[in-house]
Amino acid sequence: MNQHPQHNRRQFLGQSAALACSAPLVMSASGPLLAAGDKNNNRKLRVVFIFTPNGTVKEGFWPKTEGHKFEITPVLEPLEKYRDKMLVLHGVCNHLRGDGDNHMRGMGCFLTGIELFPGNVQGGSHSPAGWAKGISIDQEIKNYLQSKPETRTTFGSLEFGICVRNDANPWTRWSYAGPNQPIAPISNPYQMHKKMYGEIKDQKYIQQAIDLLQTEFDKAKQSIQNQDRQLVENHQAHIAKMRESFLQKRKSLAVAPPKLPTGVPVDRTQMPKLTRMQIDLMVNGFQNDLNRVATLQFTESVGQPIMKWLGIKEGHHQLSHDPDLNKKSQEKLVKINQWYAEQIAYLVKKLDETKQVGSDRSLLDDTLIVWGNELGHGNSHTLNNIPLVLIGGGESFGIEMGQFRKFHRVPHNRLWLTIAHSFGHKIKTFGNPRLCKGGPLNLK
Amino acid sequence: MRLLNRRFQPVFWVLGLATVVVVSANFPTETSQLENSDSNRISPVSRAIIHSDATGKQIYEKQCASCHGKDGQGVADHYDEPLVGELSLEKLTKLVAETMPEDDPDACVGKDAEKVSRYIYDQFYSRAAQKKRAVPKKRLARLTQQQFINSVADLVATFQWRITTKDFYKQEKRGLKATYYHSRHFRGNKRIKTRVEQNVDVDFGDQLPDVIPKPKPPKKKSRNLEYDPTKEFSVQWVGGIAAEKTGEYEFIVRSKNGFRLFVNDYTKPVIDQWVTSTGNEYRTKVYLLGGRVYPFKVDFFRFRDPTSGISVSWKPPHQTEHVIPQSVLYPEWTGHIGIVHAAFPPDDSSSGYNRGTSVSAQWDEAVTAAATEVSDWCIRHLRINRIKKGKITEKQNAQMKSFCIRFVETAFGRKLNKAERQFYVEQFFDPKYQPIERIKLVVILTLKSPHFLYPELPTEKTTENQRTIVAKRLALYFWDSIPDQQLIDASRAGHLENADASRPHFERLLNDYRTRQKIDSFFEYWLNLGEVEETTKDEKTYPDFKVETAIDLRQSINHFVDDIFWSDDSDYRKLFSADYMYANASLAKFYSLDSTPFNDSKNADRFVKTKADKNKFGLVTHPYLLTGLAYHKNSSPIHRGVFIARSLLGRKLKQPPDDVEPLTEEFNPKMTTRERVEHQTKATACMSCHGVINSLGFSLENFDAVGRFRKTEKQKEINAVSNYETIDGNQIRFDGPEGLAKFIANNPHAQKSFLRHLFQHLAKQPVEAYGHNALDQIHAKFVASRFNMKTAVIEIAKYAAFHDIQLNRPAKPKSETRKQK
Repeated sequence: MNQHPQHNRRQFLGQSAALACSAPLVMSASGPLLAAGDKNNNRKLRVVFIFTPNGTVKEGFWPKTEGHKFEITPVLEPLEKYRDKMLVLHGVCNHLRGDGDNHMRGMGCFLTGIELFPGNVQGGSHSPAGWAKGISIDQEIKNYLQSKPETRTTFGSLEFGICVRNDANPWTRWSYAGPNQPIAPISNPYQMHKKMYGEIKDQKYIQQAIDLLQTEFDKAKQSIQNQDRQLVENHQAHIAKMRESFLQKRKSLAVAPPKLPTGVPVDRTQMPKLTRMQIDLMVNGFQNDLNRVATLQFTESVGQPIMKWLGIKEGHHQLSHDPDLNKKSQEKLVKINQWYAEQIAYLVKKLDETKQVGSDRSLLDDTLIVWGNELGHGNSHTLNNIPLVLIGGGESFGIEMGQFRKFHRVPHNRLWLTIAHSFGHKIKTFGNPRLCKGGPLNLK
Repeated sequence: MRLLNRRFQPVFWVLGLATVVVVSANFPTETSQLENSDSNRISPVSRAIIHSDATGKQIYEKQCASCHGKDGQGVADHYDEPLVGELSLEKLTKLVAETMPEDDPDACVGKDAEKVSRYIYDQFYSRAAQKKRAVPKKRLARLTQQQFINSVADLVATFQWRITTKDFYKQEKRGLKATYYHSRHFRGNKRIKTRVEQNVDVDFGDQLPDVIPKPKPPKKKSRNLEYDPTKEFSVQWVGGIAAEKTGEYEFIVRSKNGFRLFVNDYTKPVIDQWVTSTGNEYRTKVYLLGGRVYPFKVDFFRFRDPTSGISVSWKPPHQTEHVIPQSVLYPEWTGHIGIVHAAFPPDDSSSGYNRGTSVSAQWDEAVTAAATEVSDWCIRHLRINRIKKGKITEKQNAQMKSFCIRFVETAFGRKLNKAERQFYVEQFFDPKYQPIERIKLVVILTLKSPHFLYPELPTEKTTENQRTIVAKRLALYFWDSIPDQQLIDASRAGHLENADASRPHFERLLNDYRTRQKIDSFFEYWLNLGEVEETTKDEKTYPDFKVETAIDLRQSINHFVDDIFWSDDSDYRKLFSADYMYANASLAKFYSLDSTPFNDSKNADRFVKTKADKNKFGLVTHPYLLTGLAYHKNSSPIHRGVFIARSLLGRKLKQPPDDVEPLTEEFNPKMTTRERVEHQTKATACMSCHGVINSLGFSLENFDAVGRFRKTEKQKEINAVSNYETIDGNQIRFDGPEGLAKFIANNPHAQKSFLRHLFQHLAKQPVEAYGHNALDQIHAKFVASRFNMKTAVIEIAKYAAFHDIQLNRPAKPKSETRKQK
């Protein structure tokens, strides 16, 4: 391709820039990991991605002072106790463009780092879109961990939802098993409990039916083509997986499953109770090593919970549209985000107080919590400066906690690279490769 | 890197000068998008070399392709959206001449702009061009969540007697059968009377019910606590309850006495308060499928309580709580409806409507769980659990086998051939299987079979199979369920293919109560009715607007569309011309409607047709939509305009630039909403879409954020005059809502948009997959039927059901041929 002299020059510039950034990183990242040696290898690293909607509150969220001396802002107050285990990131941006409004891309491109397919779902603005074009980082890490016997767990990952609306569209899905394959979070704690600890009814008959049906599916596939055939093939693959799971004996549990309060209606008025139940399940799952990856999705993009328990009568999304000058709305938004922070603090506290089975390390020591959002700021719908907070045992992940760090418009894909690398999964790019230039963000 | 690129662009342009033509000609567009796009940039200098005799194509490739892509598909980092839209050719030309290329708008003007615009318009920009380029295909689909649940319910229902909704509507009797007993138990010898009552809402005070003759007071005070004829009695209300919509129904019972409430099962109460406690109000939620009648029963008794009374209310989806009215109650026993409880993940709605075109582990698990649930029901129903091991009689065995064959055949909607009978049923009638195991295996195998889950799985193309497919399709279009025997028989006999013979069959399909649920959800989808419970408004500006107001409005709009759709002429245009609104007393007050109907106490809690002032034009001015499409405090011409443009007029709109914060009142407190919007969108680039959006939205500026009529805003008179440019490039002046409503009612694009939505909702496939002129043909019939929406449903169903069906027309019966001779 000699006809692009400038292109080559740019390519060169780009590459050298990437080299310049990544060279020290590679060294510093591998340094302590190597030094830690066996000790780190035995650690059961876990990651939790937490989503809360509608952007944050500029004044209430962002600290003013960079570095270790950052001040705890009103939104972060509930997490103050864990200040030293927390890293607040500014300047990390979702640079994905293309189809879908910002709420859709903010959601669907967040964990995936890649565009949405063109589609027919129309948002409040922009062009219509479909599902994301690629796998999400939580699933990427899960697949990596499941691929090795020493890190394989019963489920690999569990997708928790809190009052997620019962619609499948780009606003309600952020975790993807692959292109066009959104994963539905489970918002019902009783259902999650059943999934995690339940026995499957009539397993014997189901198993026999599945075996018999193989021929029916094979015959069906012969009569159809292309996409249609793909659909039936996917179906068959899921059935095969179910069959496989029957054969695997359930590991015996190290700790008893949590007892959930009975009869809590699964609707938005019960959000606080449901959140506690889901978090209790999540922590227990980690204790029993059922999974190493978890997502926790509070409502959905454009989430409109009405937090009556905080004395707020308007829906969250509606409030997020009010201008920054509207003091009352800003106060309410701070309250809402503070409530979310409280829930995260509950999770952090539980992880901190729970010892890993057969070790004196707490779960928190080897867990990384990543709290994000589909937008930077509610009323402008910007995808820049996503409010990102990392909490957990930084040492295990090669991340220096206890800081407020500012970057300049770096694509968030690079943050996902950092996290993948901290699990030992040394991928060069994730999502749209164009947004991975510079490699993993250096969070040392 | 992005920033860096921008800064250095001029340098690259000069460098790229000589190569640029080669680049755009040689590069495959796909790869040039990502990696090489920046180098495609054309320098301003190069544009000078374009000759005046260049064709539109040449101009496009030289001046436009670097940012818009070779086929207008867009280029990452520059303009990454496809170049499609709805400006008229004239407008497009003007836009190109004035604003393009972005960095040097003078480089393409006059004749060049005309030529290039024509090229863009014909090649990919216009609707016709887009149609030519992308033809969506029909996809094989599995049953959606709703279709699965409905199908199973109707499958189970074929095996037991029950009140069908047809019976429900044919007969006029309403209410519940109330049986009074003069004892606290329902003892036959103490039964006093059975009569039909309106509903369950009664206060007996400290008395006995009037039907029980006054007992003589006992001569001396009985010490026997067992029986006190002066106080003790019980009542049983029994019958059916009809649910119109699918969703969660909350049942609320208020009583201080002992009671049990049964919904959809006469044997298992959903609330059991037989033992009284201190409470007074009990609630529970039950998921019901629309268009079906469910068993309903209330047991009630008084023993020594000082007073007695009971009232049973419900809160159906999107309605406020109210005492269950007589109109939904039926005073006869009816059978249980098998609603499975398995937790299905929501269906893929990424095409804008729910489709079964994807599968997930969770879905497979839900199907499996549902199958085991149904197998349990069958075992109970056939009382197989009572058969002792090894003690099955020949007769029982034969009954069980015939049940199983019928079960599979009903599920698949067709007769099984010999091999299938062996595979699905007979192989399990081997002595090595216990009776329970047989049922379990047959049911699980059937409900997990691709023949049940994919109703359109291709079969051998015999006439009978093809006709089965037609019946199955129609059942899905109208009911989201499996076909009943009547439909299968009609199809097999070829009655559906004949215009005259098919009429009563289609009428039956349409008038089935389940179709009401389908139509109801269509309007919810087309008009984006959403979750009404979440609407709140600024308390200072609208102190009387409560959450209940929003729920009432939702009911009002439902009554309105139901009323027009189910009327005889079912005229689509009336949706936009009706000068009345459905209101209850509180809505009438809030919106200053004619209050005379509410002077009649009978109407106190009902929704009645209420004359509105002269500013009501059906949907366009319905306060539910206007309220939803508005901010907390102010109206929003942009939301309203976008809704009308997209949902009603079927126009496509482009992206606005990123990160636009809407200007709020604080920007300039003296400006009206219209002035603010005009100020923010005045740039030419904005106006390519906002020209359309604003002109539609502004015509509704007489309606505030709760849809009330107003003449002024900020002490200024409302200006609702606007000029709208149609898809065909005509200018229309709207002076308020009247002109807009008339325009929508009569505009063919709007009508087609309605039909497209209807088609997708019924068939769950894109209409374009049925041929490039499918929509035009359906529209022509719509016009011929004087815009009858019910007829449109039938025509769409026919069109889609017979698509790609090849029938070997059977030879005419011999007798007829003979006659002709």
